[in-house]
This record gives sequence, C-alpha cells and structure tokens, in this order.
Amino acid sequence: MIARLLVTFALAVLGLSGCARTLPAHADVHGNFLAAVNEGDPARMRRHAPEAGGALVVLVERTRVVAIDPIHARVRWTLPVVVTGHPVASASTVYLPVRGQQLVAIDRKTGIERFHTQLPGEALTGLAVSEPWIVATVLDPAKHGPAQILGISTDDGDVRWQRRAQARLGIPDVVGSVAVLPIGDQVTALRLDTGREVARLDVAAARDRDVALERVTHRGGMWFVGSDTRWVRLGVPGSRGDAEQLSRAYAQAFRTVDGVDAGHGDDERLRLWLRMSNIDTTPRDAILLSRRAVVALRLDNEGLPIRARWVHVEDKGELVAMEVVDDRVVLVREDGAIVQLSDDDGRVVDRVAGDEPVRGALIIGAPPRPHGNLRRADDPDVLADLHALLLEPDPRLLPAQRLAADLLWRQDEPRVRASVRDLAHGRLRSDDAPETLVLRDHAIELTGTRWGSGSSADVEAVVAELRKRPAFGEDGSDGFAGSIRAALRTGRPSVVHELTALLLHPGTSAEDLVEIVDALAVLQDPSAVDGVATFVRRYHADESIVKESPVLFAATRLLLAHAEGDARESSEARAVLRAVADDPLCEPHLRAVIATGLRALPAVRDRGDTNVLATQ
Amino acid sequence: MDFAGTRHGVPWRVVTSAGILLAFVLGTGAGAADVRAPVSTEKAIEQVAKRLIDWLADPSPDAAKALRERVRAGVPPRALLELLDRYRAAPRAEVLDVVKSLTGYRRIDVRARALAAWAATDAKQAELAIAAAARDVVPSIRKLAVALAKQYPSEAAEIVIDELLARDEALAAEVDGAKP
Repeated sequence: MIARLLVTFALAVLGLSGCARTLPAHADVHGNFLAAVNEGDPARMRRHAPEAGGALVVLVERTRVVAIDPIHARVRWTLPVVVTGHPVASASTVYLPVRGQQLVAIDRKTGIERFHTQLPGEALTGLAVSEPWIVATVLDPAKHGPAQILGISTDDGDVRWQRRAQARLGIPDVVGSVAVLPIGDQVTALRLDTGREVARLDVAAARDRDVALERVTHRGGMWFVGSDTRWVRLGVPGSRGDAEQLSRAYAQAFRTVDGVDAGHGDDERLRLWLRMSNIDTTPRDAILLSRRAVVALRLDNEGLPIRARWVHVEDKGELVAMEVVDDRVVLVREDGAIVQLSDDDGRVVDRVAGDEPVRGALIIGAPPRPHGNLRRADDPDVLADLHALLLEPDPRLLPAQRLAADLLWRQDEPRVRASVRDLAHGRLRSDDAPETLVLRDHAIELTGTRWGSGSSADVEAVVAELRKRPAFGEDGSDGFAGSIRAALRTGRPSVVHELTALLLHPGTSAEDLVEIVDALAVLQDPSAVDGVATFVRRYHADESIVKESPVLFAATRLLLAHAEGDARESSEARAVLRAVADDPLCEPHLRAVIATGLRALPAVRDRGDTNVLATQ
Repeated sequence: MDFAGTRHGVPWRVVTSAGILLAFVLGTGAGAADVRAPVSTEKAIEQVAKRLIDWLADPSPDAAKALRERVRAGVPPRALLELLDRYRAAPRAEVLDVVKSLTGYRRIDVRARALAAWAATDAKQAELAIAAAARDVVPSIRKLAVALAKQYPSEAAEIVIDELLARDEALAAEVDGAKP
C-alpha cells in the first residue's frame, strides 16, 4: 500500500513538474525511439520549423560532419570533427559529442561553433537537450560510483551541476523543468536548474519482466522507459509499470547503449520507427528500416502488423538513418545520398545524390504528423511489392521479408495468404540458402498462427460460432455459411478442427457441407485430411449420400490435393483414397473420380501408406 | 415407471414399441437405400452384412476389432441396418462404440436404428441414447426419443422428454393428438 502511494506520489510529481509542459525547442533525437515522439503541440512545432532553418540532415562521416538542406539540396556547413556519440539538436543548435570527450555546440544555420565543453566522464552514455539545458550521463572516471549526471548550460557550455550515481545510468530525456533518466531498476526525476532529485520510481517490470531500463522518453504526455523492443509505460497509478513489447521483435524501437554510446553503428540500419496513438499508449503506425528496404505498416490494437502501407527498396546501398519529418520519410544512404518519400504512400518525393560514405545521420525537422493521411489509400501496388520483397535473395533483407510474410498472412483474402503457404512449402523460393531456410521456417511458424485482419476477439467469436453444433433448440438454424466465410477471412488453425467436426456432424445441412469442404480446400491446411478422409470413407458406399450433394466429390478432390508429397497427411490421404477405390461397393462415379485422380498423381511412394491406415 | 401425472401426462404413454417402428419408417423417408442395386452388388452387400453379423455374434476380441475396422472403413447402409437390428436384439457392450459412432451417420434410418440399439444396451445407456435422440435436428428422431423413453423408462428420461415436449410444440401436439 505504502509502495503504491509512493509510486502515485512520484508520478504525480513527474506529471506536475514536467509532463504538462513542452518547450518548443525540444528536439528530436536521431534514429531512435525519441525520434517518433510527438512532443506537445506538433502543429505549433511545425509552424516554428521554418524559423529554425527548416529541415537539416547532419551527415556523420568518418572525419567530418556535413549539414545538408534536403529541400534545396545544398550543403549548409561542414566541420572537420570525429563524432563519437549520437548528436542531438535544439531549434537553434546541434550538439555533437566528439573525440576527446568533448561536447561541441554548433549553430544550426551557420555551422559556427558556439562553445565546446570538456566532459568529465570516460565515456558518454546519452544526451538530452531542452534549452537552456543539456543533460548528459557519463561513466565516472573517479570510481566513486559507476556514473555521473551532468547539467550543462546551453548558453555557454558550463557544467552547472553534477551528481554521482551508484547504479548504471541510461539515456535521459528532458521535458519542461525536469530531466528524467533510468538509474539501475529505477527512474529518477531531477530539477534541471539544480540537479536536485524530486522523484524516484521503482520500476517493478524491470525485474519482473526483464525489461532493461536503458533510456527514458516522453511523448504525448506519457513517459516510457525501456530498451530494444521492450518498454514500460509509466503513469498508471498503482500499476508499477506495465511492460509492453512488440509481439514480434522485428527491430529495436529503443536504442540500446549498455552504458556507453559508441556512436553511429551498424545496428542502426535495422530500426523500427513507431507512431504512437495520441489516445492511448499503443503504437498505430510503424516503419521498418531493414538495410535496403523500408516497409511502412499499420499496427492493430495489440501492436501487431495488420496492413502494409507501402514498401520501398533501394537498389544501391544500405540506408543508415531514417526519420519522419512532417509528411515525409527522410532516408540517408551509406553513400551520403538523401532519399525523401511521402509518408502517405511511399512514393519518392526527392533524391539528393551522395558524396562521401557516412556512418549515420541526425535528421532534424518538423515532427511527424500525429497520424497518417486517413483519406489517402495505401499504395495500390503494396501487395505486389510485398510479394516481390519476399523473392529478393539478398540476406540483408531478411527482417523486412519476415515482416512482409506477416503482413501477407494478415490479409483477409485467402488468395493473398497463399503466397505464405507457398513459402512454407518451398514452392516459393525453393532454394536451400540459409536465409531462405530461415524465411521458410518463419512461414511455417506463421501458418500455425491466426490469419486475417481480425482481432483476437474476432477470431474467438468466429471459433465460438463454429463450435456450435446443429441440435434441436439451438441457435444456428440459419446454417453455418456465414461463420464459415468469416473463418476464411480471419481465423486460426483450430478453425480447421471445428470445420471437420461440423463436416462429420449428422445434422449439418448438405449446403453447409459443400461450404465446409470448399473452405478447407481454400485453407489448404493438412490437418483437415483426417476428418475429410473419415467422411469419404464413411459414406463412399452410400449412394444416397453421394447423390445428396456434390460434397463427397469435393472431399475426394480435397484429399487428392493433399495426396502429393511425403507428409504423414499426404500418405494418409493416398491410403484412404486407394482403399475406397478398391472397395467394390464404392459408388461407381466416385470410384471413377478417385481412380483418375490417383493415376494423375506423380509416381508416389506408397510403401508406407498402408501402414498409416493400419496405425490409425 | 408410470409417467401419468407428469406435465404431459398420459398422452405420450400411448407411444409403444410400434411407435418406434413408425419412427423408423418416418425416418427412412424417401432414402435412396430403397433403390435396389444390381444383383452382384446386392450379393456383395449381403455378404458384408453377414460378415458383420458373424463378428457381432463372435465374443472374441478379434471379432470386435474386425467389426470396428470394417464399419470404420465404410459399409453400405443396408448392411449397417442389419447389424444394428441384430445388436438391438442381442446387445454386446464391447462394440457399443461402433453403435454410438453410427448415431452420427447422416442417414436418418441408420441414425434411428443406432439410437435404438444404443438404448437397448442397458438402462444407463438408454438414458444417454434418449437424451441424444431428443437433441436431434430431425423431428422423427425426436419422436423416437419419446418412444424409447416409454420403452426404457427412467427418471432421467422423463425429465428429458418433459423438456423436449415443452420446446417441441409440434411433437407435443402430435403426442397429445395420439391421446385415446
């Protein structure tokens, strides 16, 4: 109880001191979760963007920094410095951690150095700026403690205060008059002007759910702390931190530092950008950067990919940085080229040619819009693009390809989902390259999970409807056709079990039987073979059932479709069909269809088929 | 057990074993089983039926296994009807699973015979068979439930039939109409 009160108090302090205010100068931080933050009033910040000199791309090369105006394709300024960490920027200044443990402040418009400061720490952990303050976390050289927190004035670069910490420090964020940063398994709030601690919060999820607290971020009035793909939402009184994560970890949403900011690295070529809802804490949009490919998508309420918006693949070179600036997605290629895409549909809006190789970049501009253009449709070619992405043999695209498979599997149209089945069965990308095998395994795993765009609740509703059985006095007198079609759009593998159970139920209408077998044929799930084989075996000698509807013929064709291959189900399908065709009491037309179908099968290995039947 | 005095009282007492046969006839409907197959097929069906009946009469586990496998492999309905009639006359609990599996057969006549055979097994099985028949979507099978409840009376069966007639107005009216 006391703990809860303390947590509530701490959060109240955090909210009162910082959450309610946003300084217009608060800027994006490059290439990480913060970059997706919509701080305060985005429209206001967008209005102020031109005053701050408009968009700017700061290219971090090996021995120099080049600032480019991406709108006019002009070099604004160049500096001969070796950048060792991740730069940050305010409305007027770019702050660069450079070799020699120094922090250099550069005028954003002119490139003139405003000041430079010697940092006392051995290595920088992270920076955050909210004028007139910069907060830096560094490793402590004096060994009095593992780390130090510094409060630096943006007016002259003086270190105005510093605090030692007894635990590892993460990357801070500053909002209003407070700096918030992770310290061990806790989050602390410090006054910006004095460094005095005003609140400290124990984040239980750090221990309970193994969330590494490596950086703090504030967006839309909410605080987040975490690393990699997992984060904890702070601010729900009594919750002690509600851990969230992307259900499938495509890439980091939070940059990990492990105590030291080593500067731009290879891992930044794989990054997930999230546009959080401004209603609750769930991500709504995401953009995955995966080396040469960029995939923009919508997320459902459970944080799962539901629909691709567009796909962009660079032919030449990898992308080292990505940022969403207003209605554009700005990409920086490893050769220094800048590519700008429309956030709405992914079309290339502009390209600026590159010069020298770059390690990373800081992209500064207006914040992204709080939501995509709801009136504009997705790229009409997006499904074809996803399909083409799956076929790319470049192993560097594997994360994007896994996402592409996920997105295709979430389609309501079974014809579109078929490409994932083809991938799982090796009909698509039939080679045995290691990356193909990984992708195939992913597709196999995917086909064992729910499909379609429905939510978990939708899927449960579909399964519950199919679980009903025809019985006197029960609902369902209208038949199951509606539920069966719904299951084709969205469902999960247990749907197949329910469909085969309905197939074998004596009260199922002949019309529904046909719907069921058609649905099973579309779903192509081998687990249907057992039930369908039972149906064919049970009624093959019953002329009245054969004539009742075309269902026995459809079921026979379905078994024939599964009869190719070496899988246990294929063997079972062949064995049953042979047994039925060999039965002199089999309905003659049915026998003819089966015999023809069996003859058309490729030379099959029938040695084990009889055993399959016998073991049942 | 005398069902007189229950909510529906006497009326459905008049349903006798003859009623069961009537239900069978109704259940059979215009099934294509009446369409005679060619002589050779007829003979083959008779042979299958005879084999099934032989296995049913044979008390060995091997015979039960053979019966189970043959039915599972698919048997013409006429052979199944003969098998079920024989079982009803002389139930054999070891192959009750075969009989119960046939209560899931699509043809009404096979299903009705299977339910009647199931009920003939013992008093407890009769209760279960009656409950299953009372849930069937086909009116003639529900009517069979009433007949079976008369033939194998029990408190549980009485409750099932009371509930059935409360929900199935057409059957209740039919049963009321049969009142002497």
